[in-house]
Amino acid sequence: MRVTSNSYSENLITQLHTLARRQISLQNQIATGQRVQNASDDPFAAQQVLQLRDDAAANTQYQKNIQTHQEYADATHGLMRNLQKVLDRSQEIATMVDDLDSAEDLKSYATEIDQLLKHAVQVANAQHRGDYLLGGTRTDAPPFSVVTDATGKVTSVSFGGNTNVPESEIGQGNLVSSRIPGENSTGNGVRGLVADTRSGADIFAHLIALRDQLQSGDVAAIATTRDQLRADEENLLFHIADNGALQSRLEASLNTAKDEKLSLESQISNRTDVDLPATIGRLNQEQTTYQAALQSAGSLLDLGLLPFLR
Amino acid sequence: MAGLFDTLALGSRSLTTYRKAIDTTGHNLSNVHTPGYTRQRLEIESTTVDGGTQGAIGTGSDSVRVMRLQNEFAERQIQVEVSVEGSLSTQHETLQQALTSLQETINRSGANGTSTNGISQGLSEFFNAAQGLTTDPDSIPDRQVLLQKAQELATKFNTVDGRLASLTGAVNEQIQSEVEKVNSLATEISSLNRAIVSEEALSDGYANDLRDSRQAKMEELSKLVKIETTEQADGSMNISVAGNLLVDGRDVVNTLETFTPAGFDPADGHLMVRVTGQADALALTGGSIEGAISVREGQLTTLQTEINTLAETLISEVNLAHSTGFGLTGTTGANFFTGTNASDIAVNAALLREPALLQASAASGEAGDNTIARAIAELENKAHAALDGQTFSGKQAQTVAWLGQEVSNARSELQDQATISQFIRAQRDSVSGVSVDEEMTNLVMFQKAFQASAKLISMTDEMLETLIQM
Repeated sequence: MRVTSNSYSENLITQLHTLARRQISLQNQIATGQRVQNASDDPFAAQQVLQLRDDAAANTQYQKNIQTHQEYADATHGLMRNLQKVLDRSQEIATMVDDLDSAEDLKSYATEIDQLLKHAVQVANAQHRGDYLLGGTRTDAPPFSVVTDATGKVTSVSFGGNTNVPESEIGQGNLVSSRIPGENSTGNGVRGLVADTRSGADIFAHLIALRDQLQSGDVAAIATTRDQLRADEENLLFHIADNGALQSRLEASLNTAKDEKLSLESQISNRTDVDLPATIGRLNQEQTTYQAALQSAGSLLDLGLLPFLR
Repeated sequence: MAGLFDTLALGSRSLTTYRKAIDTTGHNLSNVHTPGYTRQRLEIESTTVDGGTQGAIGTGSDSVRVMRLQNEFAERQIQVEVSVEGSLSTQHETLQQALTSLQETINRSGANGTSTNGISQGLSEFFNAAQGLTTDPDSIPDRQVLLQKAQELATKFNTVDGRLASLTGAVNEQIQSEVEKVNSLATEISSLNRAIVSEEALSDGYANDLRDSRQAKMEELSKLVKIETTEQADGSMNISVAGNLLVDGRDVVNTLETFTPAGFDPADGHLMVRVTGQADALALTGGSIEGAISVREGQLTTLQTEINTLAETLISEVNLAHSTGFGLTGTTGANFFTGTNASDIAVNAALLREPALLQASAASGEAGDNTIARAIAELENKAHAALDGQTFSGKQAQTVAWLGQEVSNARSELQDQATISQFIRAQRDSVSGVSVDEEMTNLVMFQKAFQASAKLISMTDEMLETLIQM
């Protein structure tokens, strides 16, 4: 093949373009630390990375969901502890009456129970992040309201909430609820905390009964109420145990989610990140080739018949 | 019977011949870097007259004509390859721009880990915000986050749709300006035909430099549209496109024009190309105009459809769930998204103004119910029939990967094509290209011949002197 004057320069330009393109691509990979940036770099890897990115983002959200559930579970646990204190003191009083004869003493305990009742209502109407904890899905209004007679005495406590508990995901398809209804008289679903037909618990009604019995000195009836208060406490303990189980499930889920996140990150990294030593090695190789091309071209382009002619 | 004067004449003819040869060499040297230049060679023939008994005595040499050293096969091949390259490079460029429009460049160094700026990121953030709302459905901040993410997602759809629409517009503008260029090149070729025919009619030689210009114009034309060429006996070149004669000898007999085919809205930009006055579009098979039409009708349209289907499905599915729900104040029936496709998707302005109106609950008066929020969040992992049984983000990732594959295919085809073109150009240059070394050698050769001819004249002169002094 005949080689013409333009062949050298045209070939050189093409070769230098190719070498420069490879160098800029490698340099770009090294500077960003990524082998895949655009889908055209490696379509299959890019597709996988986009989906792994979704999974990783969902995982982060699930972790946030778990933390929110943990907060609610903590808040509910505090509420239950406070109710337990009320029940402990009430049962103590209900037990003490056996040794008391004086109606005056009984009446003074009745006053204390009345205070405890009011406190219990206040506790059961506790809020977290603006939500009433025991209202079921009616979280925007206090679930328990007191009914008083003309003298201002609490005659009953009514429940305005419902028995629905909102569940949400802490993993794909993994539903959990950190709420419990204050009262459940349906016999279905999650047991009520304050009152529940299945366990026979009804803390407010039993406290009112105890107060009235202390007021009237009906010591015989107090014995029955004492048993009812025990049932209340058992229901409460059931919920405390449940809350403990929920908290450990949430903790375990959080740890699993964190492990999954690490694994997802490493999968993304495997698909996108650059193998730095190998890439730098290749860049050096390209640079050497580039220099060699320039050097040989420099001496070739200078050569010709012209300088040798007189 | 020849005499000394004939020898003088021989010497003078010889001088003229080698001066012409040196001129031709000089012409080659001065065009060494002229694109499309074909090197020329002066054809020199020996001249004889009928001799006497001793046979013919040569009468020297004479120049016959200046030849173009062309490789006709390679030139035809270059026209074909240039058309393929023109088509591929337009496709590659447009696909690359389409991929950039999607903004799905993976960024690993951002604050939120791996992310992109595209729709896939928007979908992920939107559904995660819905997921966040399920844990506290009456929380105003959580509602604001969901609405803000939804708005970002809607804006991303709008932006991508807008970019793809303007890309289509740019492709059409390119087609339009290239069609005009085709017509003006056809006119230029017809004028060159006219000049070549009249110049060649006057002599035995060729209109070499005009032919070079015509060749360059034909290559330029091939880049835009694949042409068929037929050389006529008078030296003119007929040019046709997809079987339609554009240039017939010295005349342009047909021009091309753009039009919107029947059944399409001109606003949708389905610009096609036809011969002026004809009804149907030309079936182009190469050149950048064909590349532009093919990528616009193919990948660009598919991409726009995919993005629109995604937006439509998102709007209908989210609204279906949301409209049955209840807001914090008991309102119901409102849509979450307004609009019908990627171009006009937006978040219901009433919700943006008042996040309490977001209908996350399934029952009136139950602010803590998260049924609807959950239904929206769960759309993320649901397979949708409208999306070929895929999830929203799965579909978008697939679209991105598909387009990436198209770009990557176009790129490697273009690179392969560049290798082929380079090879054929080298083949042409091996015949037609100027080599300075070669020309310099010829120059020395012709100079020596010129000197020798001059010597012949001066010697003949001496001989005549001798004769005269006898």
